[in-house]
Amino acid sequence: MKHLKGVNRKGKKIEKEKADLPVVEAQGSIPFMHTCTSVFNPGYEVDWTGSTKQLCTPIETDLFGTTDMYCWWPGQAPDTYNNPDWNADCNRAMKDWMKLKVVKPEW
Amino acid sequence: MDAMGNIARMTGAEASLLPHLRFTEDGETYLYAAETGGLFRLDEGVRDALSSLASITETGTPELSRDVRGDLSKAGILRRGEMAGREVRPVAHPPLRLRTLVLLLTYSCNLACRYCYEDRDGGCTDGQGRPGAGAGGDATGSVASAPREMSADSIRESIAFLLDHSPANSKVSIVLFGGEPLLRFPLLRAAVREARAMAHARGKEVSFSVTTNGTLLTREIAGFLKENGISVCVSIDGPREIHDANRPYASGRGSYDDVLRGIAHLTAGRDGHPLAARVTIGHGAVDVRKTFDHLRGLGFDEVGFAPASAAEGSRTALGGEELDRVLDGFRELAAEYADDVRERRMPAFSNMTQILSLIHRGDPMPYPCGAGIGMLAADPSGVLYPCHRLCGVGESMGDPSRGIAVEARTRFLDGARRRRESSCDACWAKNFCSGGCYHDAYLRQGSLFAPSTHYCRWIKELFLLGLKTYVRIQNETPTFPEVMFGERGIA
Repeated sequence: MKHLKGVNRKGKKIEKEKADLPVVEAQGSIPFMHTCTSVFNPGYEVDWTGSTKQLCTPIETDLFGTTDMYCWWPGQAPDTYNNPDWNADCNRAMKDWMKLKVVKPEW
Repeated sequence: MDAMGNIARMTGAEASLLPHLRFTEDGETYLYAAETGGLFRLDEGVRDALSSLASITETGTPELSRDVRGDLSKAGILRRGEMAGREVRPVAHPPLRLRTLVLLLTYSCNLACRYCYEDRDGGCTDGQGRPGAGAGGDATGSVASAPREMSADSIRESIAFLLDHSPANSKVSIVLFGGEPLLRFPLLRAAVREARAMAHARGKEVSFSVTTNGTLLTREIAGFLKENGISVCVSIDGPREIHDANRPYASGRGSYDDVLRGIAHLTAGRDGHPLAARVTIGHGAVDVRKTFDHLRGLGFDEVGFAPASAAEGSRTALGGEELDRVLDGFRELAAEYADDVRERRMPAFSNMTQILSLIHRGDPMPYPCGAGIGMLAADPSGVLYPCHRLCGVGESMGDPSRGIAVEARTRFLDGARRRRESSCDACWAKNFCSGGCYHDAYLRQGSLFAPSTHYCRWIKELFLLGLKTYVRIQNETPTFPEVMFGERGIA
């Protein structure tokens, strides 16, 4: 932690912890690359409480797991650097996934 | 769109702010995170970020640096949108790990305290040692025929139940309670001796405490309590005029002189065993500063205050202004607490000790107290309830012969959990009060599981005072919290 300094026992403990799961930001230390194989994402098998409830959610929840540096599944989703508005209307994958735009390759 | 914005969107989520409190003390800004119990000092970057986060909307999260977002997530202030509003999954309640059993040796009492049991005019006894209407029973008087005095058999069974349901190698604690437990001193003495023998046979340690009004203490009784290392908590409300107004005999005569005589027996030949005073704050008796000083002068090592449980609008309920006056007094006592710590004197304001302990440990508090988890109370007939205040109120938790009423216990803890996860979920103070006292909620709102909303503002002010005092102590005397409240702490 750079900006927060633990004061009580719990705060000091949290400060010392290397990462809290699953904070996506923690993966930012992995060099950015457009590939699906070099990133290990412990991801969505368990949720933050350690529950396996997420195993039963629809595949749409995984859509964002297939993009960019979070790509832990052979990705069919477009990268958001070249297609920044691809997911503009999709705030919640499970609810809004039908609003994702189709990306037509240009060449 | 920059990379940061992309990342926020890529996760498919807006973020949500979790319950927290930001406060300043001694020129620095601090953050208490309710989800994790962590207390942190902030730098300016986070302070500004938090201000901008106050404007979180449906459409997205203000752009924050990766560091700041990481820190806030880790601290438990910021949660990704996917997780926000998630369904709370049922979590099993902790198993019964009995450590404390309150024995209501008798419902009888020789005093008729103004705030004890609503709408009772005749005192706790009717002159023959039998309780007046309302004492220990429910509103319908349905337990009127139940025993008012605990039998020796019942005591034995209750103690065996405690010893058999406590974790192996544990130290257990027996609270000798009433009514006025010293009305039954021979019974109390027998209970202590028997409990020691029974604990010894099972390889466990047992400690005792007694809560008494102090009027019946004699040299003999004080000697017995001392010999057996029994912690004594005397209920005394302050200087004579306050005490006598609140705690008279049924005849109306004040009890102050008798309590003072009793205390003298306790303080004579003291061996360092701390002596605690428990003050009930009721309508018209809110000068905590004066009361505290008076009781310290009488020789008490610790003084703790508790508001009288009272139905809304009753003659003992504290009004809003009175609660504010109590808080003003607490502020003075808290400042002195920090001074005492700095000067290496043992602080005596026990409410603050308790709050600082909660702050230091920062553990989640799913239930407001240990009732039904580590503590049970046995009423004079031996029936078990979650705590001494709930005897005759709500469902029983079983009895020693038939064992724990598992379903009733689950219903009770479900109620507590439901309250905390619905009404109190968004409150930064939830790990301090966890909804408040069941009994108080019952009196004020007719339900054990109603949140104690009448105390919300007050409780938050109190815990803010606790947080500020904690920070001050950490800055001035950083060795104190761990010595006092750490793994091997003494409080």
